[in-house]
Amino acid sequence: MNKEEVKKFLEELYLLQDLDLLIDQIIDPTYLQTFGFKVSEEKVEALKQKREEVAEKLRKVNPRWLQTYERLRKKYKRGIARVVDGICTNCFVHLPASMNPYEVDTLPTCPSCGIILIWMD
Amino acid sequence: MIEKLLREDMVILDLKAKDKEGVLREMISLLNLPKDKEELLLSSLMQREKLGSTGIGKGIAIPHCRSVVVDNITLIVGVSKEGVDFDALDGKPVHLLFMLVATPMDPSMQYLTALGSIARIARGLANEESIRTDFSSPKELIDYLMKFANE
Repeated sequence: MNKEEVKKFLEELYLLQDLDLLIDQIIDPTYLQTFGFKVSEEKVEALKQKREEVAEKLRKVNPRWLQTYERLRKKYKRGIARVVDGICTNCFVHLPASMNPYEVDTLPTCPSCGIILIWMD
Repeated sequence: MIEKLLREDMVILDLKAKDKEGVLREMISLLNLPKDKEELLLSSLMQREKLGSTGIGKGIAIPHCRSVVVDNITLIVGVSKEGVDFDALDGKPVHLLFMLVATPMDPSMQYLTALGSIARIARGLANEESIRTDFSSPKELIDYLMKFANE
């Protein structure tokens, strides 16, 4: 994968994570209690299906990277973390200054906790 | 914690947009995100709205989501004098919007705590005869809301 393809993959991955977070939220009892909102089973299922469609698209591009994301989700409840001021926002470790956002055929991960890293302007 | 989230620079006293997407876009613009990140955040908020409107009735809406595009938990308050069609539960136009966006994870449960505080303010506002929209400054709006937060 060239740098542009890596960037595109990561952008699709944000979308997947946002969908995963939304699903986590709407099935969280504390959340439901806060508002008294009830989301129908049907809508939750439709959302899960959309999530699978996005995941499938990513699986076709790079199954190994998607697997890494899924594994991290199980461990940390999220697979991606932002880099802010050179620090991984999952484990708060300073990253090596030589790390670059997008490199050919490389999924950027934190050397300390392994989470997938993203840089934003 | 709600007093820390209610910031004068995160207030829009006269929203111009007239529909749900437009108003969310207008409020997101305060975050000064790059265009592509703005779109991602909008799509997360709209995705949540598709599950059921966060227009809880009595002219109040609480659009919210977690997203990787934001650095911190942020609350943006918007006032629409004319009202916005938000598919609210009571079908009435929305005049006061509390948009809460948070990072994917916050170990101290700030997100749910903030949503709880906003829900408390909303309950207080719902007991008023009508929702005020005539604020002359962000501070005046914040002071008005804090009155309900502390009740």
